[in-house]
Amino acid sequence: MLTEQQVNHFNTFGFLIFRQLFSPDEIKTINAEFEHALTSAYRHAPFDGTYRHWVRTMGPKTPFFAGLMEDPRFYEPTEQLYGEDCLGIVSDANRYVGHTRWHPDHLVDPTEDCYGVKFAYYLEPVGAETGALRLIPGSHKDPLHSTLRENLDSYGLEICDVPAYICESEPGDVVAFDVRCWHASWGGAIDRRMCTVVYYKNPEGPEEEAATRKRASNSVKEPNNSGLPFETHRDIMGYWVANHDGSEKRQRWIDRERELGFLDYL
Amino acid sequence: MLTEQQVSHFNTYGFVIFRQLLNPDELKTINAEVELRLSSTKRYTSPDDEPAYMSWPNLGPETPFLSGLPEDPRIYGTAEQLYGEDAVGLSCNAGSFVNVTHWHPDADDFQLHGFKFAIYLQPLRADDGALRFIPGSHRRPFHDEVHQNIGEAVGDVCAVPAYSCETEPGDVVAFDFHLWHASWGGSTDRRMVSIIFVKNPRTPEEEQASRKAAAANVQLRANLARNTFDIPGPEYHPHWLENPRKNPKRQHWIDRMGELGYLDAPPPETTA
Repeated sequence: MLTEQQVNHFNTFGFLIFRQLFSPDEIKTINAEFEHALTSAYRHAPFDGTYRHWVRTMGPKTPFFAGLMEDPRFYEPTEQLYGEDCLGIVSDANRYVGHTRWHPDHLVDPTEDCYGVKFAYYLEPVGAETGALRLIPGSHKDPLHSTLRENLDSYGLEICDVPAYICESEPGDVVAFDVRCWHASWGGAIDRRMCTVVYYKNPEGPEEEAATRKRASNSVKEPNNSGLPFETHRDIMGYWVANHDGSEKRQRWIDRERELGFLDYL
Repeated sequence: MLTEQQVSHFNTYGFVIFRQLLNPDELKTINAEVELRLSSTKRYTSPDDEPAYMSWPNLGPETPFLSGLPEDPRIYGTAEQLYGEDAVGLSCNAGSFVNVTHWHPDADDFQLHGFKFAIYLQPLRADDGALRFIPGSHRRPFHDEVHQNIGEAVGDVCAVPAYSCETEPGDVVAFDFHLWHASWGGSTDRRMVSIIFVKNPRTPEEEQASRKAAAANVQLRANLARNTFDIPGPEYHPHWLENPRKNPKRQHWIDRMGELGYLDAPPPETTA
């Protein structure tokens, strides 16, 4: 449960840091599932540092990851921030390569794009020059968000020279940020392991719903951009959608996501 | 002359950094002038006192380089580009800071426009007294949201997400009055020269805001002078106000400051 101060902090700056949200035992489990998930998914193309590896961790072989969206440490803050009917979208694992340029994940206008929160956690310690997440506080809202979209590239600044807050973190820390917030990273190992849990706000009204459908329509093309066989995504998501434990929360997400088109590719 | 990118950077983030704007000879002169003025403050005359923030004006004949710095085209040129050719140079102060500076903007009134050049005389890092900015907080509504929500974090500088503006001697940082800023750590003698320019008020609302700011500034400076010196001198030295070289730019500033109240005598209760 977020304090009023944390809610205000998130709404003002667009992010929050939860220090040591995961216990050492959980970190051990996460590491083990991470290695298994990425190694088995990319058996056909083992990681060699040339491109990012990414896989959804919502299948039977990663039970801890798969349960994270239904973990109250994640969904409760999200429900506080984005409403009790928010939608659990993805839990994933990534091996990053090099820097990540400045970008927001979503557009700022809710009639153009949906929005929500991404919980990001790194499996190694990350600092200013070693791949830590950099965020521009307050850039999840206008006018700053759109001003950055118009001008940021024109400044000709290196990623590390753009004025921002650097979220240095240790394994166990989790950074939650609004998907409209501008973010980047600088430096870091070639095999920078980061995982995320993402929720979207349930769209209200026809304009928000249309914007969310647009996002869904684009996201169903995503499996083809990961370098993974389509079947890998289908099997993982098919398992999640089967909802073997009969979770009411998950079922509500699945039903709504089906309506909105997020699961059209299954 | 600011590039288009620098102007855009200032407008977007509320600040811009000019790396190595001042050369080593200029720094040597500035350090000597600051040391000279600092040596007449309570820091030296009452050495047993707990170190406290000292601040003094530099618009006098004792500090000729600093006194002329607002009239240096590198400085006023920037002000005129950002705030119009009739921007008014208000001051060239110096200070010796002690410990933490809590989060604050220099102005909350959005009818008042202006900015500060900050010139630090020591290398400063994030935890060693460097300026911290909340980028973009010079604009509404973000400025107001920070105001409403910074809450308890006002006293906990590091709890607020910000950009640490690390600098070397010679660097000059220009930032908007409305930008939220702070600093953390640092020595008990962190030296900074600040030069302030304001937009020449054009509307009745802007003029009213400027008069209000002038009155507050007169009182603040009088209080600081009392805290800094055993026998405070005038904020604006008669020599500078005489404008012996008849610099039209300085005269414009003096005239406008006089109209707005910046040259008023401080209220009796705040004098030493």
